[in-house]
Amino acid sequence: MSGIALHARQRIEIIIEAVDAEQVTELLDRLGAPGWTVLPVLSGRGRQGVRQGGDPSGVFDNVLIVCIASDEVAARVLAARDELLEARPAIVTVSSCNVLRPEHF
Amino acid sequence: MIDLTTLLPLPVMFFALGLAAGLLRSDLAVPEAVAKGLSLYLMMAIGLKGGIAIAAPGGAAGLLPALGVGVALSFLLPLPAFALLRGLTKLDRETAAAVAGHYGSVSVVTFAAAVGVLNAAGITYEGFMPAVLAAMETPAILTALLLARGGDSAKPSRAPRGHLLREVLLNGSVVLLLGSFAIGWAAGVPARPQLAPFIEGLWTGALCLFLLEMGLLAARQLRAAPGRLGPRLIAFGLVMPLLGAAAGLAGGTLAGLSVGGVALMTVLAASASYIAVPAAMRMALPRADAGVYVSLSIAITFPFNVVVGIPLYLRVAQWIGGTT
Repeated sequence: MSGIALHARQRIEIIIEAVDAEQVTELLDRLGAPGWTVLPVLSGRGRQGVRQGGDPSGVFDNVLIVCIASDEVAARVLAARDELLEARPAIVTVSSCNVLRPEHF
Repeated sequence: MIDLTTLLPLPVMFFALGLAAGLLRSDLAVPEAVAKGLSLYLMMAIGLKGGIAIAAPGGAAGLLPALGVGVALSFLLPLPAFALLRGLTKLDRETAAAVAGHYGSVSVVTFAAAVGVLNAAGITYEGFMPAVLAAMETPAILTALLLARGGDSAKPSRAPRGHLLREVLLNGSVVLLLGSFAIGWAAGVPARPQLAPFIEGLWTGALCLFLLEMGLLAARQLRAAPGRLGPRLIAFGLVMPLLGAAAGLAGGTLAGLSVGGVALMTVLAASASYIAVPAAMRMALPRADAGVYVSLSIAITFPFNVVVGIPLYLRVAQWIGGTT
């Protein structure tokens, strides 16, 4: 890519109910993730039909948690699948990505 | 000429407008941040008014019995609700327990609508009732968790206890209600002139706007309801408030409250939570169907209480109190 040095990392994406987000980010911290970003989800459709937030209690809100990490941390997160998923409805994906500043991830 | 607002209070008219607009799929919407702001305003105004009232000489007389009755109702009302649900419907144990918890807890907006009706009719009530409202928010959650667990003590909730405790005890609405109540109490009667334009002048308009949003929300939940609520569940959503109201009426009378106070206690016991309890239940009972408890509380019981329940409860409280 035009001579710019890029560094391979893993991008972990977790879509989960907003009420559970804090437990997941705490787990990521504990497993050595260098950081994470939580994004709101507008709506979505899955096995249980359409899901849309905006209810005053927030029980129908989902969030997307994005975490860029090394192979080792990604492996630790996947190995903790029982704790990560439990009975929660969640979508977990891991894909390869490249970062510009390796010292940050 | 008959004053229309005595038949149909202004906030109820706005609720009907929101409900109609939502059912007709109008693009009318109250921005989420505005709705949250209004909800904060209502809780703050309720708390401040209650705190200032209790600071007046004799304002706290009768507080303890009322608090005791309120807490007992919150603890106990989930029991008949659970029995009704398990007997009448095919709900699983966890969902039935979660729904029962909502009916022991209370709805701040239903309380606010009832206060609006009492103010419009010139009926006074004990100033400490907001404290009773706050005290009734959480005990029902505990009963619901015990009911869900039943004989199966090995089934843990997925949320760490700390998260759940924080959600239950430091729930935003309870903190703001009790905090404003304490501030109103500390500031006392001299603070009333400063706060009157905010907590009294803006009250009815803000309540109208918030009930417009509640109408839109109820319509949204109603549209989703056919897949979630069968006729028996809908019947439960209409019968349970009446059962709660009967208990509230008896409890309020027993606590020696005035007619206005009895009416508010009745409204509290008849109402179902739709903010604090759903969030706690989603955390503690993940297998319970959130669609059932949210729809039932917002689309069935809330509209019933606002349109039919409040005037009915007030009429019965007046009849028992001998003021009509």
